[in-house]
Amino acid sequence: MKNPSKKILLFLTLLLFFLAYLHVNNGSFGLDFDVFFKSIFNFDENQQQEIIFREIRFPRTLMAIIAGAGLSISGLLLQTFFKNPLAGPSVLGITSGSSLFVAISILTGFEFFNTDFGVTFSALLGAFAFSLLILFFSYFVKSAVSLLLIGMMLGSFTSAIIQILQLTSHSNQLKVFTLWGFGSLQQTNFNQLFFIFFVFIIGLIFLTILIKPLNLLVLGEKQAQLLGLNISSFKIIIIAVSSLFAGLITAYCGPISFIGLAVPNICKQLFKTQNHFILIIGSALIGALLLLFCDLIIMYIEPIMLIPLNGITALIGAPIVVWIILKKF
Amino acid sequence: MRILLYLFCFVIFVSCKNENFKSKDLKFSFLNKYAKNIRFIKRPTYTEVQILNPDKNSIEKKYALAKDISNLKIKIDVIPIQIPLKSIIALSGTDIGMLQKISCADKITGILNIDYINNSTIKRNFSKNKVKEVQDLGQINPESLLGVSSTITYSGFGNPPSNEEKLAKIGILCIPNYDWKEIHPMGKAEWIKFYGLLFDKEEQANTYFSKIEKEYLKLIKLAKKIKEKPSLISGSMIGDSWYMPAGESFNAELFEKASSNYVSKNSKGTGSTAYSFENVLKDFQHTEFWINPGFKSKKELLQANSKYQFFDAFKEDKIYCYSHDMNHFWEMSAIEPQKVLSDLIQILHPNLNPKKKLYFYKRIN
Repeated sequence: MKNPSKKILLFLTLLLFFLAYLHVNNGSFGLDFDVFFKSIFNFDENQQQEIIFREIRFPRTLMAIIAGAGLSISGLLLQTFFKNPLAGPSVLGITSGSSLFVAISILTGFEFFNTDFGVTFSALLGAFAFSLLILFFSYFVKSAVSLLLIGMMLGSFTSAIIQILQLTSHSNQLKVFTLWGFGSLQQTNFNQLFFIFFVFIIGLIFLTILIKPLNLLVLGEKQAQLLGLNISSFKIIIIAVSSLFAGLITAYCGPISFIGLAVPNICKQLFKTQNHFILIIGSALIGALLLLFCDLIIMYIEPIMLIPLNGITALIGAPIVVWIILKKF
Repeated sequence: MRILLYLFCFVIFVSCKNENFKSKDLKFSFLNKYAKNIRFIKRPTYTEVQILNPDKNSIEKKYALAKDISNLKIKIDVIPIQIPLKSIIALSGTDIGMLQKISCADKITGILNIDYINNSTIKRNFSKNKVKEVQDLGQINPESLLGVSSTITYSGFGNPPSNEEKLAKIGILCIPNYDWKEIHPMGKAEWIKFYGLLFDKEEQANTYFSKIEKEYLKLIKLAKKIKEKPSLISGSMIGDSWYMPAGESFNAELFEKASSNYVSKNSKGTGSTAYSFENVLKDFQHTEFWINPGFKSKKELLQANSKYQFFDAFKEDKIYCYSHDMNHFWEMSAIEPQKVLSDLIQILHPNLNPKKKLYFYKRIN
């Protein structure tokens, strides 16, 4: 294994298994593999430990991995697409779009939107609509910083609408939405994992056809076109895939900040490559590791104080963003 | 020397700011039996009411209540209130219940939000535009309250509303209410005496209080005879934690008096205790009763968190909540603690009186 990237990827994979083990092992009793596998493949709902593994620990661990990986991939796609290291689903307003549509669905109380599918559909729709909006603005705004400012303005705009909706909503709906907004890996249950995993895999399949165009795009749009890339259809696919990851995770975990922005930058520094095959796998692994790590911190300090997920991701992510700004702008 | 001077100033400052509960005035007061956050002192020409902040352990406000306040000789920190009040803006649900019990619901001219109101008098007056919705006291334009009422009662949180000063300048007085911080169920109810004083219905308030006190004590006597103590959990998941009333809280007191084995009875504090879902499931999965999850149906419970299905109380339909009419509960439970206790005894020990119907509570189906 002469390629250092492969060594790093292998190391990150092993580290991911280790952290996932620590994560699923954390709780009032240790991990028993026999009970763990029974809880997934031969579940007996009269066995308390099996319930705990199946409904609490396993979904939380898997969501940390999926959310961390998905948000990081989404961020990487946006950063390559907009050629901007500060692009990410939360910065460009894509997460805000998801939040707005979820707010509309939860706070207006339509029956359809109170289902899992309804909330997910809203989040995906919101993410996709706001991604298209950003794409539209990107035709007029050439400066990377200006586009980020537009993303921030979209965030402020959605916040204002959400505040108005909150003022007029019922207290129960308000409670549900407020708690969703804190971000959490604990709200999913075992049955939802199948759907989440299914959508995630669809996103990954689309990614495989994006790797080559992404590598071409690094050379510049004109160069990529000369090499046969259909830029307009590629743009729609990249926006759709990025929205799919961001929307899916926002629907089930709430808006999680900084992961999508910070992880692709860490990944690029670590691998020092523009090969998107490596970058996508690397970002997915680092994102999963980072979110597992953040959630482990929450678990360990839980007896002393309760910290929302977004609090930890911001504490870790914000210094990284400052570092990126100092280095690249 | 300078350090000593600073130290002296600091001691003076602290001793002035935190006026202790153990005031020499106590000997003139008629002592409350249960309420800890309000004190009444009878003076020759007025009644002094002291509102105590339970978190800061100090007096937050002092009021001098008199029919004629023109010649009152009072200290600068005492606020005069001419009684009886002609109207009031009642922003807490418990105020509404208390005012109803002294036949003053029609004096309410302002409320927080009509969606949270059960009282028929207020609803009727609201439809006639005689009652104003305040929504958020901190955000409201003070001028819009002119002509509504000159007195506002609100749930105290330690800090006055941000525009209290502006409201005071246009003659509107904000009175904090800490009945919700009372630990003893009868302590909450005892705040009715304050509303009795404000509307010059002291006797009516005292009579009502004595009546419910007798009923409450009778129920406690009855519950004490019961040897069986079924296990009980309370609360539900909020975000990632399950919040249960702490062992020294108002609810824990009621659970204990209703002869139950409340699972969080040994936890410290008067607020709530947070548990992880895993700990609740591991330690309390087989608890017999689940009280106050805050939902109206099992469907709603499952929508909020499908993991609730694993609790024995869920499987055996032993979940109860104050969901006959939640607004009614919030308005009346503080002033009818004997009915809350009666419901809890009935839920936990249905064989005592099998035909008795629940008043506030309802089985969740």
